[in-house]
Amino acid sequence: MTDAPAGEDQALVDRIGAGDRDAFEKLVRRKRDWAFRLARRVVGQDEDARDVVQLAFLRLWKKVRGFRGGSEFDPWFHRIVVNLAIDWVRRESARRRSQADWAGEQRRAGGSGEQELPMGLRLQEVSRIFDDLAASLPARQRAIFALREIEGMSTDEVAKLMGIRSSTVRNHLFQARTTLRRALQARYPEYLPGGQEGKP
Amino acid sequence: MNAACERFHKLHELEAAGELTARQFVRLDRHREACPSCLTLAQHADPLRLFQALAQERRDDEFWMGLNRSLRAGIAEERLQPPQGLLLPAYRVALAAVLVLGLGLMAGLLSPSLEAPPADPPAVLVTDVAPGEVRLPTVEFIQSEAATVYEMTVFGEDDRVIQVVMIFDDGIEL
Repeated sequence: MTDAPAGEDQALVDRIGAGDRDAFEKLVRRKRDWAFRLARRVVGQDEDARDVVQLAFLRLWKKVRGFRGGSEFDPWFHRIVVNLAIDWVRRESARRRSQADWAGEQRRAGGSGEQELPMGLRLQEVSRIFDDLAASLPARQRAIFALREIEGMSTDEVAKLMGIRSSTVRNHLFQARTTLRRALQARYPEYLPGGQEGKP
Repeated sequence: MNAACERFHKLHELEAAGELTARQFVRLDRHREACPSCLTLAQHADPLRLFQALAQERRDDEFWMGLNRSLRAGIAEERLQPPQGLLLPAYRVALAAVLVLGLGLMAGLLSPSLEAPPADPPAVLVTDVAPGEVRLPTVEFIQSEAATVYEMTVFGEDDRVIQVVMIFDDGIEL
C-alpha cells in the first residue's frame, strides 16, 4: 500500500487538476513503487510493468479532473493500475506469447533488490520464484493474490477495488493459493515448512 | 485464541495438509480476517508467506529515469487530442447516430409533405479502428448514383475508436 497521508495526496490531486505538472511529478514519485509492485506481479516483467505504470499515470493525468474530491485517491488509482495490468496481460498473451514462453522469460529475467530474507533468499530470488509459479494463474487471480497476500489489503478492500463481491475475491484467492502451493511443492519443495532451509 | 477458534482447528489442519475445499477456505478466511491470533498461527505455517517479502520490492532512481520524460511526452501528445470532456463513450455516439438517422428516415417515410421516395433502412457497419489510423473525429458524406454513404468516426473514453458506416439505397449486404 502507499503510505502518504491522504490529505497530502488530495492537495496534489487538486493542483494536478489545475494543470500543475510539478505536482504531477511529485505524485508520480510518491505512487510509482506501489503501482510498479502490483503491475510487476500481474504482468511478470520489469519492462512491461514500467509501461503499465506509465499508462496508469497518463490515465491519471487525463481523468484527474473527474476524480471527486472527498473520495479516497488510493483506491481510485489502484483500480486504474489493476485494470491496466490485467488488460495488458490479456492483450500481450493473446498477441505474442504462449504461456510457456512467458514462464520461460520469467526464469531468464533478472530483478533487482539485494536484501537478504529469511531462508537465505534474496528478494530477487523470491520474485523469480513467484513469477515462475504464478505464470499459470489468470491475470485476475495474480492481481487478487498480490493485493491480499503481498500488499496486505483486506478482502473487502480488494473487492471494492476490483468491483467484485467479497465471496468472489475469496474464491479467486483459494484457486490462486491452491495453484501456487501445489507448484511450490512440486518445483521448490525446499521452501515448504519442514523443507530444507534455503537453496544450496 | 478463544473458544470460537477451536471450531476452526480442523480447518487449519486440513489447510496444512492441502485438503481444504473452497467452501471451507471461505469460512476459515472470514474467521481469520477477524481474528489476529488465528491469522498469526496460519501465517506461521503458510508456505506462501515467502511471497510477503515482495511488498518490500523497490526500484532505484535509475530504473525510473525515463519515466518523467515519457510522461511529459505523453501529456504533450494528449493535448493534441480533442478535449476529453466533450467526448462520449463511442458506443453511445454510434447508437445515437443510428437512432437519429433511423428517426429521420421514418419521418421521411411517414410525412406526406416530403416528396422523398420510400427508402429501405440503411445498412450499418460498426467497426473498431486501430488507434493511430485516425487522429480526429470525422463525419463524411458521400453521394453517388449508386448509394448514399455516411461515415463517422467516434472516440470513446476508453481509447476505443469506432467507425460507423451507413449505406442507403444500395444493393450491398454488409
